[in-house]
Amino acid sequence: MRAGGLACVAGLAAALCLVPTVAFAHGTLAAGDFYAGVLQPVTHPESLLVVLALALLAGQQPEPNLPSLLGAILVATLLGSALAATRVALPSLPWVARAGALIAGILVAARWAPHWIALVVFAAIVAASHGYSATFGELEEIERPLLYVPGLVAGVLLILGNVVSLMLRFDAFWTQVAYRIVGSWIATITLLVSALELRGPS
Amino acid sequence: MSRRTLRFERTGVLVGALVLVLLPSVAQAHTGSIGGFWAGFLHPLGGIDHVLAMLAVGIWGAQLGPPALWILPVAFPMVMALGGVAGIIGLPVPWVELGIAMSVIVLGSMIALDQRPPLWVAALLVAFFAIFHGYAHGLELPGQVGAVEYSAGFVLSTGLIHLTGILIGFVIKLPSGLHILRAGGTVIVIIGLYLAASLLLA
Repeated sequence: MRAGGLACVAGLAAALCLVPTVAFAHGTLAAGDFYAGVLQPVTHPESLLVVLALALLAGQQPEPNLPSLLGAILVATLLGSALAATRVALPSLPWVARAGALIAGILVAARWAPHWIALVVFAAIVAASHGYSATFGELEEIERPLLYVPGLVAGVLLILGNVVSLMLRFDAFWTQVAYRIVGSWIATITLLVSALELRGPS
Repeated sequence: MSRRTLRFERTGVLVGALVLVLLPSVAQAHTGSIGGFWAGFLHPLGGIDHVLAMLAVGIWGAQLGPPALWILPVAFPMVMALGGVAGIIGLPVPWVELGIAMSVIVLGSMIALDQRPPLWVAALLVAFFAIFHGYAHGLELPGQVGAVEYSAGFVLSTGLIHLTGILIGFVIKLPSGLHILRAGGTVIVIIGLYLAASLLLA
């Protein structure tokens, strides 16, 4: 493109900027229920805490065990989310997810792994309760749960995949210490949040 | 592309960017959450006694070296959260303010006297004082802001103060580093004594 053409495009872009419109971030544009599911663990900090705790816990495990652990987390998330989509009310499950994040954070901070089977069962219970609470709380907002549920699983997979890849790539002593510190922070935040919710608004 | 054309295009881009500033747009994305996060982040910085004690934990950790270097900052927030829970739900803990002032004196003394007890003793000492700090914070935690955002800001801020203490503690690697640290510890003790005296004489 010639210089004159570029200048014209730049001028046109500048002229468009003069249109007095109101900018609403995440306004009326509906991105669909699948995308709402993908974004759920990112836009809901408490959900992110649970997924991050599970991801850090998985990243500390020996590499050969990872596929089965990650698979269990994803399948459990799918089942928990699907259960919530049927509108079965289980009000204690969000607390199970919260307690799971607390325990996972402590396990990461202590870098202590229980027996392999126990770890898979624990991760599956936490993931299922997270999947349930992440879906049940959104049922009023979503129109098509059948799209939301796989979206949520995809969102969890993205976070798990990125965090575990990061931990496998950067495994020097000090980075492992950093992961343990993050684990202790997750446990601390979860504990404080639980207490604040128990107390209620003051 | 000639230099003249390049200058012309750069001017166009600059003018376009300046025109953007004229837009009468409303940008309000997630202001509430950031507010909660910042409120939590600033909370531990509000009291000199808290800041000094947490700095002392980091400095003492660096003085003791690994593994205390990272175990103390991992243990402190987790035990502090337990104290925080006690404060949030209103459990009575006696002599909290005096305990906090004592933490400044004792931790400062450890640095000033270059005390290097076994790891479990150091961890127990830090954990004991963390209860008082957590309790005081827990009493003041507001219930109306986003619990997760507030707690995340609070924990991150605490962690950064520890990190600052650790970085200060690395002065020990300098030729006269130990003397500098011990002098710093003495200053912390003097401030702690002043805080304790203020409480007792009030």
